[in-house]
Amino acid sequence: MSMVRSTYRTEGGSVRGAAPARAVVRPARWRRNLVGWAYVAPALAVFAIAIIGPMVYGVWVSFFEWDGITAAKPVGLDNYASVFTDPGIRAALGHSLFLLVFYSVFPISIGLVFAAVIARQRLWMAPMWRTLLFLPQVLSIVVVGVAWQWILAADGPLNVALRGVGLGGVTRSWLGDFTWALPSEGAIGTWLMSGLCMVLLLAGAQTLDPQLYDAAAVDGAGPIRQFFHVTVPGLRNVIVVCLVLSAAVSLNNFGLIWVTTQGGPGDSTQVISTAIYTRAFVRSQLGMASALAIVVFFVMVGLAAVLARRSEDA
Amino acid sequence: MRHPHRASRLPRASFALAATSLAALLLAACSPGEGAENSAKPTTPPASTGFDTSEEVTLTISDGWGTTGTGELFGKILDGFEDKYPNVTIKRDTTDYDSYSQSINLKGSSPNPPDVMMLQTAGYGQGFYQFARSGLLLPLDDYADAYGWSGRFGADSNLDVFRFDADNGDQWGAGPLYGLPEQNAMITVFYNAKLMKQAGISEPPATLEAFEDSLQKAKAAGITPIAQDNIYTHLYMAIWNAISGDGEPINDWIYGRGGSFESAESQQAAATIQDWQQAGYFQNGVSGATASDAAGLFLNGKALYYVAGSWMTGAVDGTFGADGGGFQLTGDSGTAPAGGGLTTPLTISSKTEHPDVAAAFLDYFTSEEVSDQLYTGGWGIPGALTSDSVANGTDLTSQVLSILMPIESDGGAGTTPFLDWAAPTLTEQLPAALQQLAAGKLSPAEFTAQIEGITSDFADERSGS
Repeated sequence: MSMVRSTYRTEGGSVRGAAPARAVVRPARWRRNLVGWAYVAPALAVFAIAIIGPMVYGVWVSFFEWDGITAAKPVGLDNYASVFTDPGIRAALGHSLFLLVFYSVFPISIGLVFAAVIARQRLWMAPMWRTLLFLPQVLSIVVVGVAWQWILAADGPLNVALRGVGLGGVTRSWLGDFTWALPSEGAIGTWLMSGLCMVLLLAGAQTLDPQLYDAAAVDGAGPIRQFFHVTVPGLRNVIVVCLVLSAAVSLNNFGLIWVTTQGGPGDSTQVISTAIYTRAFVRSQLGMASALAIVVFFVMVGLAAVLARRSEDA
Repeated sequence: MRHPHRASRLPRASFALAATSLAALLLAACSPGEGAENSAKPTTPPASTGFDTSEEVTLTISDGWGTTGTGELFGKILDGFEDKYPNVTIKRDTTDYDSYSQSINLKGSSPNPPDVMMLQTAGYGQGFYQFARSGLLLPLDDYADAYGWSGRFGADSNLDVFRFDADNGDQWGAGPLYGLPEQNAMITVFYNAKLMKQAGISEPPATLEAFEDSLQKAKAAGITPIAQDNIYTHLYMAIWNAISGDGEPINDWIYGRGGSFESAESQQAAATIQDWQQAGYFQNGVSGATASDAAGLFLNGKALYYVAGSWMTGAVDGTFGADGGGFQLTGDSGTAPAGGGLTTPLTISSKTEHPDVAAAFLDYFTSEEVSDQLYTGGWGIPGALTSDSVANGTDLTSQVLSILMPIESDGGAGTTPFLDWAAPTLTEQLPAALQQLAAGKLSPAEFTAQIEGITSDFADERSGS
């Protein structure tokens, strides 16, 4: 069949555009990088102008004594020294740590219990409870603050309820009381964060292998032992996520405190975020406020890094 | 405010970028706020009561009265000025009162500040102090002469609260004039005459002693004696002035000329607040009560007294009519300095391109015509006392004005300005300390020592700069 000529062959040597095999040259590395950079440039520009720029400026301002109006006076590291020695800031730090227990430890404990109960038992109307417990996360923080201010007021529902059960003696203006204002803020925080932690932990609990529970049951472990020896270790990673998230909310809880007490009475609910704000905008000590913000930033980054590493190890 | 902890992990490239921007900033090497200081010591232009009415002019005004109530009234006054001078267009920039100080500090020190700026304090208070000492405000003395402002605000010494001498150790109360008042804010004890009768109190008590008796009577009759907010500053001023009887030592301290807050009188005033708190003379839950909570309680007829500035005059008149009254607490001698006084200065930026137009606006705002408009619109007692409708106003108005009367002439016990004008950080720190005092967390002596510490630190800072 010599008639059949393989025409493609005759043309084969000159396929248009095909490069010789040895010349498969890939674009230079720097060029590929350039294209990559071009893609991210718009986002990077926004990030640099809106985040990095102000941050660098904040670091710069933190070395000055500046009221935002008159010329600044360079003071070196004085502002950083004040951050650690100023009694007002130390008190605020103490209050923040106190609140951390209410924002992290309590919600995670409550969330774990709820998650364990909802995951293992067929709870009546479980989706409704889940939704209700998650509701605080959906509400605006100002709404939460105003609502709780009303609940905790001298003539608010909480005190009415207390009087109703004969506990009139313990009623007070909860957010106006030197001893009780901070725990009250903490209680609001626990209410706020429990739902989120529960939903996260619940999602984690559903990935646990049911055979582990069966095995534990065969070995004679009751529900409580199962909780501590199966549920909690299995959810370790999720617990770390909850910790980081709730710690961030705890240190960022400016809105709630500002709406409810503005740091009062006295300085009893002054926390790190309100201290930064009052120093910057009420007392006009912008250098000091910047130094404090930067210290908190590094504490937060450090905390997140340590927790992230621990969860990777696990 | 920045939220630094939001950006948790920085990619390496951003570090490079950050380093570059830092280097750029260091190269630029200007300290924050340097631009503001450059304009210091403005040359005063020749003051004139007239300006070219053919040229189109835009005047920018910044205030913190918002858009409702007093803010709406202020808008009408601006309209009136535009009607009077058709070539002038006013560009108004207003925010609500509570957040005003944050924005005006930035706007006022920017390269392009508003021509006319309302400031919330005078003296060493937050804002006025920084603006006046860095030359951001236009001295108004030549305009005062040209327009003849002398006598318009009672005794000329009343305007001293808006004077500031940046060349002479940053002394407040002396030097060039930098503002004209928005109103006369006298600390007044407002009362509800109906409740007073119910409590069996025959006439408004004037002296502090009689006042304390009436508190006891009201309490015994089951009436909340005082509607109080948890700021306490105005109540403290009223009591301190009554105990002192003389404005001189108080003013020496507030103006930073000498004296000490750790006096027997100021400690006695502190002890009085503690006593009243313990005796239950304030409403239940006072420690959580805001100023509007307390005002609402009084205006709803639930408390006998409310101690506040004379800006409440219109509201009390409107709610209680003839049953609303006001007086001043005095000592045994029957006199006391009036607390408060001319406040909330309207100032002109030293960078304005239209100083004559801005000064014409200040003159217009404090004119008889606008003072009438302010008073009848429920603004309170206007700064200028030349208005007929103020003089022929309600009974309550004349009662409040009688607190002012001693200071119309240079005699009398005078006035003492707002306490938190004694140092820039007192706006925040004085209420916090008073709350601790009221709750018994600070003794009167500890309280006065704490406040004296703040003002003496500030005095050191002032003399050191």
